[in-house]
Amino acid sequence: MIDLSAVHIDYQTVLPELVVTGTIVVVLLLDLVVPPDRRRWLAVVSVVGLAIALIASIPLWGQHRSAFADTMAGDSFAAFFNVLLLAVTILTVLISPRYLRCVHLDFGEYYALVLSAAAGMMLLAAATSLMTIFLGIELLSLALYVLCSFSRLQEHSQESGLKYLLLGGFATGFLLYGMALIYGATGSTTLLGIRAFVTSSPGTNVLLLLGIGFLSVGLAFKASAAPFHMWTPDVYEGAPTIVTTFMSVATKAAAFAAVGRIFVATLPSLEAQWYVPLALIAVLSMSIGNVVAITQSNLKRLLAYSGIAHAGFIFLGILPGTTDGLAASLFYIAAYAAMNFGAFAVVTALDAKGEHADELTYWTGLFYRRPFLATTMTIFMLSLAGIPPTVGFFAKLFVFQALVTAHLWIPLIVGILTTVISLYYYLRVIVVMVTVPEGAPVEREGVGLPMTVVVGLSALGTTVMGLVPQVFGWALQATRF
Amino acid sequence: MLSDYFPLLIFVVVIVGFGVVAIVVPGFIGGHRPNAAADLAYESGIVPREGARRRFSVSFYLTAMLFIIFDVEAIFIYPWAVILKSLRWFGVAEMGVFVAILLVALIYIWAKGALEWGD
Repeated sequence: MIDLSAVHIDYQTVLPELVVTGTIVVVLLLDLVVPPDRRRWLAVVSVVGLAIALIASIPLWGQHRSAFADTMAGDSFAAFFNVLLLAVTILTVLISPRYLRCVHLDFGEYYALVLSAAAGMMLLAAATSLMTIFLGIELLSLALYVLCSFSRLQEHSQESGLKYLLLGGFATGFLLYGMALIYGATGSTTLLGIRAFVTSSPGTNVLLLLGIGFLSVGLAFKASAAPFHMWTPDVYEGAPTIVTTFMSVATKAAAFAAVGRIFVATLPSLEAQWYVPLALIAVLSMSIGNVVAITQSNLKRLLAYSGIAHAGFIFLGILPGTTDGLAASLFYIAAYAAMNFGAFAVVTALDAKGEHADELTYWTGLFYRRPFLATTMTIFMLSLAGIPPTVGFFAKLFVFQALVTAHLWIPLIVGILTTVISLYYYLRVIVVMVTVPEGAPVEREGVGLPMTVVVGLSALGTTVMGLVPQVFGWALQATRF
Repeated sequence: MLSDYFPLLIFVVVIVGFGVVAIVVPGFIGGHRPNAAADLAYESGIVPREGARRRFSVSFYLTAMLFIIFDVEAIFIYPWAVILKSLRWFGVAEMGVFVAILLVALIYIWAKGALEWGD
C-alpha cells in the first residue's frame, strides 16, 4: 500500500499552472474549429485563461505551502513571479493578433506555444526540486525554440530557432550533469534535502561545488548572462519581434527565480564558495553587454546586449547571499519587465509596418511621425539607462545598496562604471528619434488600440513603479521563504 | 560516498577496454584481403543500392513523432499499472487526465491531416 498522504498532494499550490495548462488544451482544440479569420478569439480565450491563473496565484501570497513531496512551493515568491510572468504573457497576447496578421503568421499554434512557455516559466518559479526545475526549463525552452523559428519562410527566423535549439540543448546538458552531481553529493533532489545536507555537513565538498558550477552554467545561459550570452543577439534578432518581446523579459525573470531559490534560499551557507564565480558572471555581463551595445546599429541587437547587461545587474543582488539582496534583484526584475517589455513592444509596433524597422536608421525622426511611440520609447530608454525618477533608477539604487550593505566593492564599482557607459547608447536612440529626417514626411499611421494600451501601461509602470514604496515591500515579502 | 561509484568506474573501464581491444586486436590476428565487397557499407549482409543521404518524405518524421507520443504514454503506464491496486481510484483518475492530454495531441494531429499520406 502506498501512503499518498506522505506525498502531500495539494492542487491549490499548482492551481495557476493547472489553469494555464488547461487553457493550452482548450486553445489547441479551438484552433481546429475556429475559422482562420476569427483567430483573434484564440487570443481572447488565452487572455481569459491567463487572467484566471493570475487571480488563482494571489491566494498563494503569504503562504508557505510545500506540495508533491517538496517538489513544488506555494509561497509569496511563487506568487510574485506568477503575477509578473502572467502579466507579461497577457500583454504579449494582447498585442499579438495585429502583429501576427501584419507579418502573415496568424496561426493558432502560436497561442498554444506562448501559453506552454508561460506554464514552463511558472513551473520554474515554483519549483523546489531539481527535477521540477529541469521540467520547467525544458517546457519553456521547447516552446521557445519553436516560437523563435515561427516565421517559417524566413531564413533569419530559422537560423534563430536552430541556434537557440543547439546551444540550448548544450546548456541543458550542463544543467543536467550539474544536477546529477549535486544528487550524487547530497543524496537528495529536493532543495530542502540539499539545504539540510549542506547545513549538517560543512566543509568543502568538491562534487557538490562542481555540480553547482555546472548548474549555474545552465541557468546563466537561460538568463543570457555573460560568458554564456553568445546566442542572445542572433536569436533575438532573427526571432519574430513579438517573440523576442516575450522571451527577453519572461525567460530572464523565470531563470532568476530558479537562481534565487537555489543560491539564496538553499545554499546561503556556501556563499563564500559561489561568490567569486557568480560575481564574475555579473561583472562580465555588465561589461560585455554595455560595451558591445555601443557598436550596434540594429535596435533588436542593441536591446539584446542591453538585456545581457541587465542580467548582470540582476545578478548583483544575488551576490550578498541574503534575502534582502534577493529582494533588490526581484525589484530589478519587475522594473526590467516593465521597461524592457515596453521598449520591445515599440519595436514590435514599428516592425509590423516597416521592412527594416529594427535598423536604427529607420528610427530617424520618429518623434515627428509617431509622437506617442517615440515619447514612450524615450521613457523606456531613460529608465533602462537608470535616470531618475524612472523605475530603472530605483532598481539600480536598491541593487547597489545591497552591495554596499554587504561591503562588496568591486562589483559595485563595475556596476556604476558600466551604467555610465550605457548612457551613451540609450541616449543615442533618443537622439536618433529627434533628428529631423530628410525628404518628405511619412504619413502617420495608427498602431491599434491594444498596442497603445499595452505600451501606455508599460510606460506608466516604468514611471510610477519606483515612486510607489509598496512595490519594494512586496519584493521583500516575496523573499521571506 | 565516492566509493559508491566504484562499480561505475569498473563499468567505464570495461566499456573502454572492450572497445580498444575489439578495434586493436583484429588488426594483429585477423587476415587482410582487400577487395571491393569488403569496402562496402555493412547493411546486415544486404548489398547497398544507393547512398543513404537522400531526402525522406515528411510523413516519415510525422510517424516517428506519433510513435513517440504513444511510446511515452506506454512508458508511464507500465509502472503505473504495477502499483494501480494501491493507488485505487486516485490513480485511475490521474492516469485518465494524462491519457486525455495525449488524446488531445492525437486529435490535433489527426485533424491537421498528419495521418494522410497524400498520394
